[in-house]
Amino acid sequence: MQKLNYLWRIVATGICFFTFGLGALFISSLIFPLQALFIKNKSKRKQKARFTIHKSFAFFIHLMQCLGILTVNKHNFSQLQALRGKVVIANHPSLIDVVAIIAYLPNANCVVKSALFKNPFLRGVVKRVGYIDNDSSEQLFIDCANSLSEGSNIVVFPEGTRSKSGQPLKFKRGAANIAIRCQTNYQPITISVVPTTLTKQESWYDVPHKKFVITLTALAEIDNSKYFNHENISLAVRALTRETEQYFCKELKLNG
Amino acid sequence: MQTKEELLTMLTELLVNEFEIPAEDITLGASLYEELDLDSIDAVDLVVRLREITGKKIAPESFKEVRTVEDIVNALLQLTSAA
Repeated sequence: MQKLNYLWRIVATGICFFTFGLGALFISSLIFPLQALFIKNKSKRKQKARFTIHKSFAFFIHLMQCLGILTVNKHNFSQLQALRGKVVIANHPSLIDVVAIIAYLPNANCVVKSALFKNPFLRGVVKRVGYIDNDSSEQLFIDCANSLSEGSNIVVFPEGTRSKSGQPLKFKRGAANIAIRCQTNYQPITISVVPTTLTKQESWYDVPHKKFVITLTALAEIDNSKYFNHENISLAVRALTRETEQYFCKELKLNG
Repeated sequence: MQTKEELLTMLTELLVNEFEIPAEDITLGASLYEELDLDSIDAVDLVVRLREITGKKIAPESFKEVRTVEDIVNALLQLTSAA
């Protein structure tokens, strides 16, 4: 029976990956062009596109739950419904972290690596929803400031890539740069995936020995204001990065 | 005009004081991104600071190819001797 469940979860995981790719193509080649046809206002169109992704990701997480691949636990997510103009930071244990965050966080914008703007499945999506390209640092802060002032929350994984499981987190300084240069606070979210799956080291078909549980915990907002008028921005960015890295390690009980 | 050694001293001081890089790590051959843990945003900030300190116009493009501490020193050397 256990063996059967294991095999089923491999098939179901395959179905999910297939659905995700197909869904991305369907949305970018049909839904978005239709929205473009009927919604002339550019900022409304972007909002609608983002809402579409929010709902599709929620559907996708629901699908995974229905197929018996995972269970989702959320803590304090009701406080996120009214969140505006914050930098949302989270650790990055698995491939589905961003899907889960966007599924439950309205108004989410993302800073994504340039490569996604070249990925044939995702290019159409990231462009249309106005996600921010991390390619040029000058343009990055302009785009972030505009997006925050529109009330969007910018999701950043400060590690820059998925975590190495069991090891202390190592944050890059991009998130702190955005927070300090755009003078905004952090909304931290910790994510744990048990047993680990869809990590950087594993392939999609390496399904865990049992159904996995993803736990998302929204912590209290972090006040970054003491860094806003620091005389040296590079030092302020480093101090804030170190502080949040230690905070996450403590919350996740990783010894850094 | 400043010598290569003077420029290296100035650059080392800047990297230690404003980018928290341990002085002992800063050698001419040290790579900025891998060994000294600078990122692309730091590179832009560094150009801005060098511009303030030297009073020379440094185009960020001229720093695109810069990979090591020595590359910066040489770029500065060229700028100061050109003037």
